[in-house]
Amino acid sequence: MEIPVVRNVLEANDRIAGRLRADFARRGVLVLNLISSPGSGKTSLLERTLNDLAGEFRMAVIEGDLQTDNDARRVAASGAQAVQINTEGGCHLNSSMVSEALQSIDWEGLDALFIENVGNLVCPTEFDCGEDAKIALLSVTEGDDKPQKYPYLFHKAKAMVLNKIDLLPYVDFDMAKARAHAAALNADLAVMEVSCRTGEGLDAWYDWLRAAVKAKKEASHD
Amino acid sequence: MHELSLMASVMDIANEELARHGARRLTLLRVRHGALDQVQPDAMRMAFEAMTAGTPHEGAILELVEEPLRLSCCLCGHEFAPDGRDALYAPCPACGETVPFRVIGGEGIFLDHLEAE
Repeated sequence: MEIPVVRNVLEANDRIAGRLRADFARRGVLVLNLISSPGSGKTSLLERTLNDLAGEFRMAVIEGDLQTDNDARRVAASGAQAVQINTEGGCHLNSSMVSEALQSIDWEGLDALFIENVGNLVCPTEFDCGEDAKIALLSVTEGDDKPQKYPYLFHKAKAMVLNKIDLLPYVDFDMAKARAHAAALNADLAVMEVSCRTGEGLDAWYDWLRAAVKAKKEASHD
Repeated sequence: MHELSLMASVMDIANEELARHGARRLTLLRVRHGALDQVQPDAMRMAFEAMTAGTPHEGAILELVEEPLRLSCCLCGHEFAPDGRDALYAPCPACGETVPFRVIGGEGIFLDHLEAE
């Protein structure tokens, strides 16, 4: 018997993500899904952001890691809420894991929620977690050909944060090439060059974040 | 490695369709995946074999079809299928300008055909 079907393989994940997105919209909370290789500075960017904007926004973090709660403890030191998900070997977070982690979130006055995905440039890109935007983080020590090798993430992301620019004098990283390759499939990609170590460039990231929080709040009041 | 999750979703959908059509055993499944989706056919096949081993579906055929990338120039609107990745960073073949392209094909993962008995 032939059964003609056309069904999205990710429909179960996308259904839960849709419910989460509707809930985030109702609450007016900006949700960002941070995706990068291991070690490019997702947790460092969050530590900086949570500390520097603590007086401005109430923020929470969902940390995805294969093992350990090291990152949740690191970001919780800033005073922000942090919930750890251990995927026990799973290479990405999905919407059902995020939905479960949200049970532990105190929503009162929350402005922004960061989802720090498992360090991986491939798998997390496929699984919608209900976020407003995926943020691709790339550090200059990883090489400028990452956007070329992993085009899907840079195509789907709304912003690319290039970290560790304080190390540019010591590495052969062609900024123009990385930017051009990332933008080839994404005309609207916002690009910010930062150093989480020195703080250089973070103001542009904070301005991007402020604008996104504001837009989300305004949309929820409509 | 997300192929394991993808294959688990494929099997959930396939089992649902089997139940709906009163069939018991899958004989063929076809999955279309976009070139941008970074799906590894070998990993999909391995996951499929692992998941069907010892079930009525063991031995079913898994067809994987890669949907090629299709682009449209943001400036002149020319639509084309690039021959390889380098075309992404090259000037538009119609207007000659180097501008970003819009993706109009080669994205998404679908189960689009089942055969069962």
